[in-house]
Amino acid sequence: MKKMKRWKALLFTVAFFSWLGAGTAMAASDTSAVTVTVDVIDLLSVSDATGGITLTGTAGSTALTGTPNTAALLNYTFLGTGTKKITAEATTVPSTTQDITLTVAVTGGAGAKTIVNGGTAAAAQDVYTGISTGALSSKTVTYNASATVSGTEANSHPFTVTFSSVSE
Amino acid sequence: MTAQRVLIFLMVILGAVLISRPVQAVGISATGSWSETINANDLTGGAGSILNSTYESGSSQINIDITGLLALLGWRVDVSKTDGNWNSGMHLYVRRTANGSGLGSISGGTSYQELTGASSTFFNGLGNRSGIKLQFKLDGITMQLPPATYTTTVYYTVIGL
Repeated sequence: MKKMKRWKALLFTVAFFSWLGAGTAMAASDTSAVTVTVDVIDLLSVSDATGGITLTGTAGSTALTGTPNTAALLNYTFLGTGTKKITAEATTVPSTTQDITLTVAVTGGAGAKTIVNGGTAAAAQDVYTGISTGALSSKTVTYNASATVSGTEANSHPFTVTFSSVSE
Repeated sequence: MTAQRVLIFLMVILGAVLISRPVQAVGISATGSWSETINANDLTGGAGSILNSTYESGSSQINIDITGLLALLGWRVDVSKTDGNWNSGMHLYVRRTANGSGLGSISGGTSYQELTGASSTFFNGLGNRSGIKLQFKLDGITMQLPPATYTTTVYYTVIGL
């Protein structure tokens, strides 16, 4: 009987320490991938020169002149390498009888450039240069126009001016 | 007790420890990844404006399961990251957004914490748990960030307590 009690005690002890021996493994790992892609940004927007320019003459003079138009705004964002410039070109010239000379300038840019000379479109002109990564915000676009009485009929003469960002 | 009986007793205990039940292997499974493309659509106001500085993943971007436990034993998850091509101006954060389900409990990790190369405590709990959700946040994005693909790997380590 005594021997039976001893064996029971022994078995209990074995069972107890077996339970104590059970535990949790130290560590395990897993991963997630994170990828961030930054694209080149080259975004240009120029609003219309609403209201246009009205050319008028003065008595005794053949010149037609008008008040410059400052209604248009230029906005540009560039993120990339190197530098950019913005060009302006009269891509649509009216077929009406006209000898209009049209200039354009952007605030802070390269100064007034002639894009139409006596009714004929010139090549694209650099109106803003040396643009590095960053933003040009709400830059005023100033149009100026002149013509002659004999060369320009009384009419509406619509031009389309195209602005482009170009790598320098 | 005689010396012989003491010796036998100690040998029995040693044997019990050596042949005790196998150790429970706590496991962790992370599914999902996050890819963010930053382009002209992320400007604050179109042409003439700059990039938004902060981006977030979906709130359930990553799923975490804690497995392998036969009882309600405690565990802790630590988190860190190892950068591939990364920019030091960018900062990545993670937070836990859902408890998941299981018989035990979970706590911690519900506020964004920045990920670095050093492991830090993220959240902890008891027992197996599935469907724990995580969300990432990225900030430090500026116009000075060169166009490129930036990568990092986030490590989750579960430690049995």
